[in-house]
Parts: sequence; C-alpha cells; structure tokens
Amino acid sequence: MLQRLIAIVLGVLGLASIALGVASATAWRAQDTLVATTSAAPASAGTLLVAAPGVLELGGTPVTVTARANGGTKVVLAIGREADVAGWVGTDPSAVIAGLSDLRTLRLEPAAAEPTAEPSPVPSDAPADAAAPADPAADAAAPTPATAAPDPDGSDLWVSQAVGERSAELMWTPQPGRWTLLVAGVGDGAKAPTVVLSWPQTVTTPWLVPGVVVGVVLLALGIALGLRLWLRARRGEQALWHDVETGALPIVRAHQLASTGRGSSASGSAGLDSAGLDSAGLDSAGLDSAGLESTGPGAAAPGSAEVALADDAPTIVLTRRQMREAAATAPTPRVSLRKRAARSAGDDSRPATGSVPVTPVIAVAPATTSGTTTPGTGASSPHTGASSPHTADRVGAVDAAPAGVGVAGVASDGKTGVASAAGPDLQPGDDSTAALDSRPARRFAPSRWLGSRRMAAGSSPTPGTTAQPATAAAQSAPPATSPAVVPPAGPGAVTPWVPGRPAEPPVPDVPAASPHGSRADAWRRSWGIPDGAAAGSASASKAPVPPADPSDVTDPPGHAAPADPRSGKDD
Amino acid sequence: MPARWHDLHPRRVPAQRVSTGRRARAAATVLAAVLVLTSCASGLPQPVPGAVPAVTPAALTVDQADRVRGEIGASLATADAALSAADLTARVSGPALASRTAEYAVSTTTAGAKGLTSLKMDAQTVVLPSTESWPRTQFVVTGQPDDLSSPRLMVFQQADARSQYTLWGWVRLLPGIKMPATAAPTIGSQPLAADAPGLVATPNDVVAHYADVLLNGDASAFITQFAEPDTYRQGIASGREPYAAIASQTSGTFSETYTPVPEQTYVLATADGGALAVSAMTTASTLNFSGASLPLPPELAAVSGGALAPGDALRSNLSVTYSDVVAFYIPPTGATAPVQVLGAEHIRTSVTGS
Repeated sequence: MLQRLIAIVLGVLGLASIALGVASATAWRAQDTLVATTSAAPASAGTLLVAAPGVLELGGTPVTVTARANGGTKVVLAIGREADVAGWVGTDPSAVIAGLSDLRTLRLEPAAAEPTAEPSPVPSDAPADAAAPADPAADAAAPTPATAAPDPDGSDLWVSQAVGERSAELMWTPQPGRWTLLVAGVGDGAKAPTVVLSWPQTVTTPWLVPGVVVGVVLLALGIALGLRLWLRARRGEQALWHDVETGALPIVRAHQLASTGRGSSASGSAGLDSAGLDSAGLDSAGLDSAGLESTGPGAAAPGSAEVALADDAPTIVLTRRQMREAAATAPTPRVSLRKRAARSAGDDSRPATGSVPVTPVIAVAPATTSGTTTPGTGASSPHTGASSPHTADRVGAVDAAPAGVGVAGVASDGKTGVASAAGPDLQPGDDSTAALDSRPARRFAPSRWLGSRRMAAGSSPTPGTTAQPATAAAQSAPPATSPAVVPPAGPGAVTPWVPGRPAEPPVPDVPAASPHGSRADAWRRSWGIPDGAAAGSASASKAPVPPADPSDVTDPPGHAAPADPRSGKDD
Repeated sequence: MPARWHDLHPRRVPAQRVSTGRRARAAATVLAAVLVLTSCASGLPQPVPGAVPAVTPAALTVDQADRVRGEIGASLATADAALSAADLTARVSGPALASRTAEYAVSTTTAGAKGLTSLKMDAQTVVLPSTESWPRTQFVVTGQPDDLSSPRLMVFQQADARSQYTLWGWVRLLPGIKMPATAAPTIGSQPLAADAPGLVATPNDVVAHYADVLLNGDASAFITQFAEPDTYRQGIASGREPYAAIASQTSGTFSETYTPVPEQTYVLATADGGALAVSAMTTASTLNFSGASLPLPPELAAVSGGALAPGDALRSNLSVTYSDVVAFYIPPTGATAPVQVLGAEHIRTSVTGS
C-alpha cells in the first residue's frame, strides 16, 4: 500500500514537474519584447523629446522606436550624438526620456537647463555673425524653426532618421558612443509625439528542460514502481518462483528424447532432467554431475534417455551404494533384454540404437564444441554406464554418446537421427560431413583431414579430427548394437580430446561397478577394459569392437571409423 | 527560481484533491509570485549611457561625411546645370558661393567659353574635426578633376547645429606640394582657433604675413617665413603686370591690395602638431588711367552685376575684386620648416569701372 502510494506520488510529482516545466516555457514565458511608451508629455516639452544617453540601449539591441504624432502632421525620429542632439535642440523647450518608470512606461523629465546650449553659442557666435552675411540662408533657416516647430529632418547631424506623416518607425542598432534619440513633432499644432521603444528580449526557459527531465524521471519511477506492484499482484506469490518439473527427471520418454534430440540438441529441461537422472542414477559424485552440467544436457540426455528406455521407474536420488545394490538386484533381466534385443536381431537392435543415436547427438555436440567439457562428458557417460547396473543402460549411454557425436554434427539435420538409425555405414559418411559442416573444424578441413588420417592411425591431434573419430566411433557403435558399441563409443568419444582421460576415469569407475557381477562384466566388456584398457584412443575404439558380440557389426563400424575421416577428407 | 519551484510543488500536488476554486486561487497566487519574483529578479532596466569619450570623437562619422559631400555635390551639380546659384545657398557659402556665382555669370556671358571650376566630390583625404561645438569645419582633398587640374582642397563648414554643412571654399593644390599628415577621419583632427598658439605663427598672423608678402614680394619682412615663392604668389605677381602696363602707358596708376577676411580662417591640427589653415582673402585691384579707352572683356563685364556690358569702353578706372582662398600648412612651434602655401584659389567676383 505504501509502495502504491509512493508510486502515485512519484507519478503526480513527475506530471507536475513536467507541467511546470512546460508552463514555464509557454504560459509563463516572458514577453519577447520589452515595449515601453512615453507617458503624456508635459506642455513644457514643446514639440521635442530627447532620449537620454543609454535609454536606447536600455532594453537590449536593437531598439525599435515608434513615434505617433500628437497633433501636427509630421514626426521626425533622429539618432545623433548626444552633443549633436543637444546642440540641435539648443534652448528649445523639450523633454527628456530619462528611463523607465515601470516595465511599460517611459519616464519623462523636463530637459535640464540647457546643458549644451551654453557652449555652442559661444563659439558659434562669432562665426555665425561672420557667416551671416556670407550665408544668409543659414540665418534665414534659423528663425523659421524658432517660430514654427523646429524640424530636424535631414540634418547632417543625424546618423539615422525616420520621417513619417503621422507616425514614424526607426530601428537602431546601438553603436559604441553616446547616441541619443530626438523626436520632433512638426507642423501646425504639433506637440511632443508619443514614443514607443521596444527591444527584443532574449527569453530563456531555464526550467523547461530540468522540469521535464525531472518530471519524466519521476514519472518513470512511479510507473516502474506501479508496474512492478501490478505485476506482482497479478502473478501472486509465485511471481518469483519457477516451475520445477520434478517429474521430468525420471520420466523422460525415449521417444521424447529422440524427438528432442533430433529436432535439435535436447531441450534444456530435458537435458537438465536427464542430467539429474544421470547424477541420480549414476552416483552422487560431483564429477558426474559437474561433467553433465558442464557438458550440457545433451550428453546427459542420451544416458537418461536410455535409462528411461530401460526402466520407466522414476529415478530417485540414490547414493552410489544404493545404485550398486539396485544394479545387483535387477541388472540381468534388463541386460539380457537389451542384449537379447541387440543380438537377436541386428535390425531390431538398430531401432533401439536408432533411438539412442538421437540422444548422442547432444553428447557429440558438447564434445566437439569444447575439448575440456567433452572429456567430462565422456567420463560421465562411462560413469553412467558403470554406475548404472543395466548394461542396456550403459549401452544406451554409450550409444547415445557416440551417436551424439555423430548426430551432433548433423544436429541441424533431422536426418541424422534417421541415418544413424538406418545404419552406421551410411551414417558415418553423412555424419562426418555433417559434423564437418556444422563445426568450425571445417575451416581446418585440410589439416583435419590430415589429422583424421593420423587419427585413423591412432592419434587425434586437432579437435576436429577428434570429433571425427568420435563420430566414427559413435557411428560404428550403433551398428555394433548397444552392448558392443557402448564401450568403444565411450572411449572413442573421450579419446579424441583426452586420450588418456577417458580410459582412466572409466577404469576407476569400473571397479566400482565391478562388484555387480554381470553388470560389471557387461560394463567391462562394453568398455573393453581387458583388451583395450591400454589400447588408447582410436585403437581403443576399434578394440572394443571385437569384444562386442556382434563382431560383424563391429567391423563395419571399425571400417566406418577410418572411412569417416576419409570421406570427410574427400569432402 | 528555486524558491518558486519549491513553492509550487506542495500546492500543485494537493491541488488535485482541492476544489476548483481553490485551485484557481492557488494558480493565481503562483502566478503572482512568479511575476513578483521575476520582476524582483530582473529589476527595472536602467539606462546605462556609454562612457563619455576621453577624447572628443570626430564630429561626423565617415558615412556622414560621405553623405554630406554627396548632398553638396548634388546641390552643386543642379546649380551648375542651371548656371544658377539660386539654390546653392543651402549648400554653398562663403567664398565658394561668391566664386561660384561669379563663375555662373561669366560662363553665361561667355556662352560657356569660360567654364566652371571643376569640383569633384570624391575624397582622397578627409580631415574631420573632433569637436562638439559649432561651427565645424572639415577639409577634404578631392581626387583630380576631369580637366586634369590639380586636386582641390575643399572646406566644408557647418555654422551651427541647425544648419547644414556647406561648401565654404576650395583651393587648387599647388603643384609639387605635399599634404601634411592628418589624423584618421575616425579619430578626427582637433580644430584650432585662428589665433592658436603652438605654431610657428598663429593662423591669423600667417595670413596677414602672406598678404604682406603678396603685396610687397621679396621686400616683405615676412618673406623668410614662407617657403620659396609659390606658384600662387607668382601668378598674382604676373597677373598684376598687364594692369601695371596699362597704368604706365596711360599715365595712370595701378594698385592691388590683399586683405584677409576677418574670422574666415579655419584651422585643423595636423598629426605633427602643426596646422592646416584655410583663410579667405580679398584682392582688390584698382586701375586708374586717363587718355585711353579700355574695352571691357566679357568675363569682366559678366561679374559687374549688369552695370557694365561686355565691350563697354572704360575711360577712367577699373576696379576688380577677387575672392581668394589660401591654404597653409603651419608647422608647430620649434619647427624649422617654413609655412607652406598648399593651395589657393583666386576668382574674380566683381568688377566696377567707368
């Protein structure tokens, strides 16, 4: 409630600030001009008005002088030096515009007692007399204005003048010096004209920008606050909570996985779930979970998928011991099931692998992407295998991993899954190419090819090459059927990045798994520990193959593995 | 302003719940406060006159001087076209008016055989007075006239504040002279009185001495005061010879006097502390003769005011009056340079005879 009040107050303050800022620049904006008019001139002013020095500049620059005749017919505005104006006015009655009496009125004062009248007569007397005979016109002119209203029109003294019948306007840009204005009404019955001085004013609106800015800020704050409150109210208490789909961990349908895997790398949730699954199912060891997490959901996903396939039973977080026990109790049937499926019909088994490969895609993706993470994945996958009592699980995991490798390249291709399902032979080529395409390794294509050759030989220098072999292995794995393939795939996937590593982690795990009799055997077999423990990277991948039951199947993959790089090379 | 800002907020914000009347009142109060504050803040503008210049500036701006010359030139052009000085009085005065009037008469009488002195108004040099009193005098050195005669030094004068500048006089600059340096027209040259000290001789004295030199020639006591015989002096001397010859032939007499016109000397200081002085003089030539008949030339008859007709035979006397304008450069006190005659004009303005 308090927050709502604050939001409202902020908003209102903001609006008010904006309004005031705008108003200061509009409604309250000062006039653009300062206009001042002379008050009624006293009769003593005669017909002449003189602006005191400085009055013209008083409001700014330039000044616009407007004079309206009060009687008479002619108005003359003239600008001249102070001395010239004073000299011209002489002793004639006049009034002085002395300044402003208020912002709209000019103050008139009676002329000072002939300030400059004195000096001028003195010097001018003699010459005037002398000139008089020579220039009668001058004398003739002088008396005329004395009787009538003096007319300053056209005098040489003025630097600027304006003459009008009833009114006149003059614009004057002040110059250095003491300039004054002479206003004269000329004609019969002329009186001092009414003078209007107007100056442009530079009007600033200093409060516009600050007001609006502050207002906007306040308003934004208020709105933000209000919005937050509103959203919170709308979402209720769960506003800050995310749904946790606990069910997903255990219940990850194979087809779901497959679909997700095919479509792209496994969805985050699925991956997470599977990861959770793996960690749960495998062991609580940080290694696994870390590896899974770091690797990304993909790697885990396959495993989980397999797991899901193997048993739909929701996974509970189990300790390693629990898992071992579980493995010991229920391994055989599943294993046998798996094995059976795999052995009984290569085709039959393939579909399973097919499903598996999809997941592998994910596994591969991470593997290829980062060498460091991959090892983890590899490690994890083996772990999974080891930890999980079911060979089938292992197989699945393994399969997934390799398949993942294969698919990873193809990730974008929905085809990958199918291809892998269809058969390793075809897949390898496709996958490898796909992998090449999708991977940056492509750039290194040449080197990679070389690398791949080497790989074929047994070593995998570049990540690209590593990926390839992995893929090859993975691909070969699937055909080998889950059991057979699993071991090679795991190592294969691992090997490329860290040749030694994959073998090592599995080994320690294996012992852990070993207690579980058939499980352990199967795991060993699948990993080819006896044969290929020392085998190493590429050879390891091959080595495992033989242990696999379907040696026929293995062979093709084995061939495929080397072939893959080549094919890729060809590409 | 901050005060206004703070004032407004408390009023403005609650205003939303306040009745319209109260809001209006609040607004009015705010407006009033704003007005008061703004008026208080700015205050009533006070006239701030420009500083009184320490040195009196030139009485005219250059533009004004140009305008003055233009108007005088236009006036002269009109009068020249009509060969009538009737409209010249507003813009021409002094010796210039007299001279021009005579020239018009001569030109009319001689049907243009005797032309007018060319007066161009384009200025080479303008010497403006720095003064705030009257009369005011400015000197202008014009460009060379179309007839290739020497440039003129013109004198413009404003007798008083309500009269206009008039062409008071002009001189033809003598060949080979060099005008002394004068202050820039934007600064103005100080006007000096005709008896101003600080010069090798006061302008009045200089004019008087020069008149004496003209009269007495090398016998003058002041001959040393002036530079070598100037062409004007030579011209005056040579102009006397025909009359002197007539006088000798007819056992008559010839005399010529040179009289400075009082109070018709205008002086402006030069840059070196000297002075430019332009003075009016009157030359009166009187020829008395007997036993002879002198046919009056038309140019003389023209300025007789109609008393004499061209070709009239004079039997006893002839008086000719000239209007002279002479310009001097008077060095400052202590200078070793002599007074220099810069130029002169010598125009016959009246003739009487019988």
